Amino acid sequence: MKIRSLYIDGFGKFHDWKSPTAFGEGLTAIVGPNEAGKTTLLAFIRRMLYGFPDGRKNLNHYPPLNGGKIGGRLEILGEDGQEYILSRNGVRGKPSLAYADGTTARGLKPLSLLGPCDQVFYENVCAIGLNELQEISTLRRDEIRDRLAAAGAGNLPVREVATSLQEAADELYVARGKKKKINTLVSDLKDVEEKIRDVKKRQGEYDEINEAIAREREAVGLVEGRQKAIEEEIAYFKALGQAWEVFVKREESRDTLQKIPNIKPFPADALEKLSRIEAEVQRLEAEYGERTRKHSRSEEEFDRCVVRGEVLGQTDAIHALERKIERYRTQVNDLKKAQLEGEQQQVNFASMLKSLGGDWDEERIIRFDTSIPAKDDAKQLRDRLAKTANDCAVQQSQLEVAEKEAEERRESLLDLQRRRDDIGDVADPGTARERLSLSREMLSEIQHVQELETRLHSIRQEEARTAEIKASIHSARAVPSWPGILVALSALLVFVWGSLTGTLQIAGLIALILLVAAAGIFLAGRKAGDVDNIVDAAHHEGEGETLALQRREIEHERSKREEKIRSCAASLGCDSLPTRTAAEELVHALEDAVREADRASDLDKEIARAEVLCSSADASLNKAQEMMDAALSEREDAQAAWRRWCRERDLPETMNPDLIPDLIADIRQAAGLYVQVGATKKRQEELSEEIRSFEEEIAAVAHACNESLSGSPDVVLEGLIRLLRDEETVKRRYNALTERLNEEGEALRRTSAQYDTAKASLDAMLKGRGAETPEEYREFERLSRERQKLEGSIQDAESAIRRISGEERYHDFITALQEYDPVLMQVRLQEKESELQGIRDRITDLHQEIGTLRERRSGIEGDDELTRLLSREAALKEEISQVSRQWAVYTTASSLLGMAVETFERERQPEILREAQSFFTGITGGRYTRVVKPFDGSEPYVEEATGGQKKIDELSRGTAEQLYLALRFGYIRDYATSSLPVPVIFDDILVNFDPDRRKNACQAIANLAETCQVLYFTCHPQTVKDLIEATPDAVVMDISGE
Amino acid sequence: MSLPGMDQRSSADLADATYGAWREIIDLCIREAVDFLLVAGDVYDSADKNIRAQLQFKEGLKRLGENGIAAYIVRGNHDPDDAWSRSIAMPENAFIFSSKEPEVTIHRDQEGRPLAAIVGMSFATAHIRDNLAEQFPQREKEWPYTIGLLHCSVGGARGHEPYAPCSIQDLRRCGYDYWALGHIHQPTALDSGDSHIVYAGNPQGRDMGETSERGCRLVTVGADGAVEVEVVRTGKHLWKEVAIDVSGSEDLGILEEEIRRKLAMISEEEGVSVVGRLILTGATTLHRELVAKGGIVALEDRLIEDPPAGRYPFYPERIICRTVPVIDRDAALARDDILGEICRQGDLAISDESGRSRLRVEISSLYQSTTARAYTSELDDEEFDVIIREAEALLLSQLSEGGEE
Repeated sequence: MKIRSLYIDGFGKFHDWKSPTAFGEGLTAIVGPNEAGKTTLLAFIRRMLYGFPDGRKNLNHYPPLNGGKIGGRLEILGEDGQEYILSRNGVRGKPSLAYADGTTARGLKPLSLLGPCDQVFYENVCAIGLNELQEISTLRRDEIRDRLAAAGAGNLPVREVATSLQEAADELYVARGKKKKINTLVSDLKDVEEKIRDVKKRQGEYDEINEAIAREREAVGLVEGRQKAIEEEIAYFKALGQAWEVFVKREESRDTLQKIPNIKPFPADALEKLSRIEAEVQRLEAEYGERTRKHSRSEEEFDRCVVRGEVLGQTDAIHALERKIERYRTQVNDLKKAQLEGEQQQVNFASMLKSLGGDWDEERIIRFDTSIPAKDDAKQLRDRLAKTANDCAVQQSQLEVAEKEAEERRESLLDLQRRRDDIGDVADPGTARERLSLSREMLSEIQHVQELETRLHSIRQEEARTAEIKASIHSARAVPSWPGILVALSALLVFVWGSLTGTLQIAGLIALILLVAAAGIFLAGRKAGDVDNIVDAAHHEGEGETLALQRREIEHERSKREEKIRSCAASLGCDSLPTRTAAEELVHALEDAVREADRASDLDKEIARAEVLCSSADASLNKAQEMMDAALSEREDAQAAWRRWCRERDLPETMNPDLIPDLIADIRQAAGLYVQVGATKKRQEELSEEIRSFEEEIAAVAHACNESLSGSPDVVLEGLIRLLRDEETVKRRYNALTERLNEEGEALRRTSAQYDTAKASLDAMLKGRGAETPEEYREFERLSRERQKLEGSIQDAESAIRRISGEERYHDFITALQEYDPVLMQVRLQEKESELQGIRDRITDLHQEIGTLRERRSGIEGDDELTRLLSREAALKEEISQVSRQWAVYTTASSLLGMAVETFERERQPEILREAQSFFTGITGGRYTRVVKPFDGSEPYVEEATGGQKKIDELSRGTAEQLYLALRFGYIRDYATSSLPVPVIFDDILVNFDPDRRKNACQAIANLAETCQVLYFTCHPQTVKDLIEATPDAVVMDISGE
Repeated sequence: MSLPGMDQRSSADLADATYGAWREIIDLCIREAVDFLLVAGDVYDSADKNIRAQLQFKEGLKRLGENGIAAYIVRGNHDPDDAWSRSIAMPENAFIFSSKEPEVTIHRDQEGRPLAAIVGMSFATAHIRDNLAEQFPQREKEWPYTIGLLHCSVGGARGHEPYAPCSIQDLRRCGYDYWALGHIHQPTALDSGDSHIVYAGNPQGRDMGETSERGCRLVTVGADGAVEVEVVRTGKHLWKEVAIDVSGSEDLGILEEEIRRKLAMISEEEGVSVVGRLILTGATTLHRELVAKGGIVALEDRLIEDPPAGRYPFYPERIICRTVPVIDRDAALARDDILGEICRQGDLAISDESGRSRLRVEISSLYQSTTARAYTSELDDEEFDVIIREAEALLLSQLSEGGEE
């Protein structure tokens, strides 16, 4: 089929684009510079034929850049001569085939127009790109050869496929490969199988192991039995050994026993009893002796004990005396003391009397009334005396004082009067003051007047000046102030308005401006002050008036004041208008006068006071005098009373009253003493009496006791007392001794009886055993014991042997023992022991073996590896099976390919080669004439026109390119002739050819174009020229205009 | 079977899946308080000499014994008498039928009433080719509900070795109420009428050859003689082949998502963990990517790494790509170029023996190598044809790359 024209709705840069011209039926050269859209057009044609590729593929999808929907139309001329329209719209749109008139061509699929050339084939065969040719130049020789070979089969990647299949197969398996998949799997499988075999073997041993264990156990049993037997033998020998010693002992005992006479056994405690009785007897004997001795001693003592009855008879008397002895002693002491006291008292009394005076004796003393009332009287008198004396003194002093005072008063009065006289007559203070104030007033007035005059003076000056100024003033226009004021006012108004309307800012600003203006105006006004004369003038005018006014006022005042001064002066008696100085002097004088007045007044007052005092002092003086007299008379009375009292008592009247208390006291004391003396004497007598009686008593008693009276009575008494005690003691002893004697006698008799009994039993005992003496007895007893011991030991030995041997074997034992040889036995024992050890070792070994076997058994029982290994084995087998199959597929594919290629080449090759050959000749300009591929499979070669042959890899690159092209052309032509012609697309393949070659190639293309439609895309005008040259009726489609 | 990339625990789980299923059966028995359990042989594969398996079996029986449930066991070709360890003694509640001749035993309940008569016979050795069913006695009048227990191949049993072959008539002749058979791993009920002849199948699929639900039969016989047979699934893992049609897929990522969704749905439906083999079919432009550019491997890896989200896991065992490229083969065949030639060669190889043998020679290097010979088997003609077609499709898709601009 052939393409007539095409229309692109939207594809890449094309939109609503129609091919400018129709395509030629032979060669069409589509020209356009780079970027004109040739490749796009190419793609469009392909896609229209075979569909738009899956959007996900990583290609250029040429989306419509300038609008329109992707797709378009191809106008096609089919081989049947019919015209068809093939359209596709949208990437997924199904192509539609229609007849030229638009009716759908039913049942006809677009691809059927292309014949069996599907897209792949098309790409590889019917389209030749520039890169293909360019690649040739980069290939190695053998690759070139392959390419050429492949070219003959179209541009299908036969070689790559073959290689990849081979590689894939090799990966899986190579005969001797170790790392190849199947090889590895197989070796793994072999390992696993071996492991399985091992495990199975082990598993298979299970029963054997169990049986082996059973056997070993049996063996152990047997050996253990043997062990037991030997152990028993050894035990037997050892037992014999043990029994041997005992046996020996037994024999010895038996021998000894025979030597001992047969004495009946004694009871166990026989000896003890004997000893006891013996001891008892001895003891009693000793006791008896002891007691006897004691008794005789007691008797002696008794004899020695003598009691004095007479003394005892006086017991009560002595006790009575004893009770009183202390009293006696005390009395003796008292007596002594009393005596001493009495003496002392006498002495005291005497001295007292002496101190009182010669005419004092006891009688007087006694008579004297020293009672308290007397004392009180005395005291009273004394007090009275004292008091009166005191009063006198007091009165005296008071009198003196009063006199003195009166004196003083008089003096002061005199003094005052004197002073007053000094002052003389003065006015009274009040008047003086009045005058003073008046003068002061006057002075002040004078001062004021002076001031006023000063002021008046100044004012007058001012007035003068003012008048001057006024005269010199000329009127000038003064700048009124009212504009300024107005401006200021307006400023204020503006401000207020602004605040009311709310435009405060602007208003304020305006106000401010206005204020400034006002100020300016004022300032200007002020500045114009110098020239502002009218105001000044008025001002001055006013001022003058003011001054005049002032002046008048002052003058008025002045005159008033002068008036006043005058009146004051008149009152004061001065000149009518005194000068200031005079006034001042007057003031001073009046001040002095005032002072004087004051002083005088004060003095008067004082004088008055002083007179009063004087008179009072006199009065008191008189009083004092009176009292004095009273006191004196009183004293006289007191003294008289005292004298009387003294007389009554025979005391000198001149006695000092103060001494009376002491005197009385002394008298009393003396009286007391006297009494005391008497008392003491009495006491003495009493005491003596008592003492005497006591002593007599003592003597009586002593006599009764036949004791001598040496020493003082109390000593004697003490002696008696002691004596009594002693005798009492003796009596007690006597009684005790008597008792004792009795007791001892009794005890003695008892002991004797006991002794007899003991002795008797001892004798009985001895006799009982036929012994004469205890020693004999003992001897018998010892023998008997010994005998018993021997018998006992014999029995022990026998029972020991019995124990060792056991009851049944006893007799055998005894027999054996009788023949026993220790040394021999030792040897045999050793033999047996070593045998035993051997057996024990054997048992240990057996147990170990059993242990090992058991371990193996549990290993087998617990072995779960087998299952896993079997699993793995199955898996590996399956894997091997699958991988082998895969390998088979690859290998078969490889072979199949080989076979196909072979057949293909063999069958198709000639035609293709023929075609190619003719192209080749053309393209090489006749240099090469033949292309040969021998059937025998040897290298293809080309033949030159000259007849020379060249192998493919001997060709230059350029020639190889040509050959390639020729082969391709050949193939295409062959295809076109044998199948259906399809449009062939060349994408600027001649671009690298030199001009000659290009021409030739164009020729070849032209050649091809006779068979099928050829679309040649190029951007080279020269190529186009050459093409046109070769094919004059070639259509040139220029797409650059777009 | 363990899968590449599966995590340790799941792998271990899967490896021990059969033990798990055994435990499930025991649990089921205890839960349902059955009277007895019938085991129809092939308890373990004696070729493995697996002591652990035997011990696990014994454990299970012991547990039944603790719960007062008896077990009646016949031995099969994989676990004949001589294949059991001498050292492992089965507990008392397990009755193992003799291998010399059929034995009859009456199962009594706790009061001593006879509930069922069970007639069974074990394999003495692995390869018993006699018809054992013929030796079974006729049912006797006083026998209560009678059950025959035998490991045999009824009617040839395709796919399995013909051990103890017999026919259905042999079984029917005995007049038993129920035949519990062993040997066929696929659960099959040969007869569900008045007498039941049932292959309970194995309780857990062991590989991709044993897909479909696996379990055991829980049979309830009413006092009136009504028989209810319930299929109870005990397999914790279900092997499954999943065919996925990827026609029209153009993007690998989207395809993967689709597949994930579908797998999650499947495992959800099945309600159990699934070990699945994916088979992709259909014509897709992704063909080349999948087959030749490691697309399948990548897909596998991603599904393993990031399994489809769902309550039950879906482990992809492998992905087999049976897609074809989007190529109109007829059109290709019609071409005069290499592509056409390839198709012609392919056709030739399939139809013509010489062509095929040539290709066979090419691949024989693997199948006859010392390395792999033991583990691979030569492809038969049918398989080889498929391979030829695949190879052809691969070539076409590879050569059709292009159209890039």
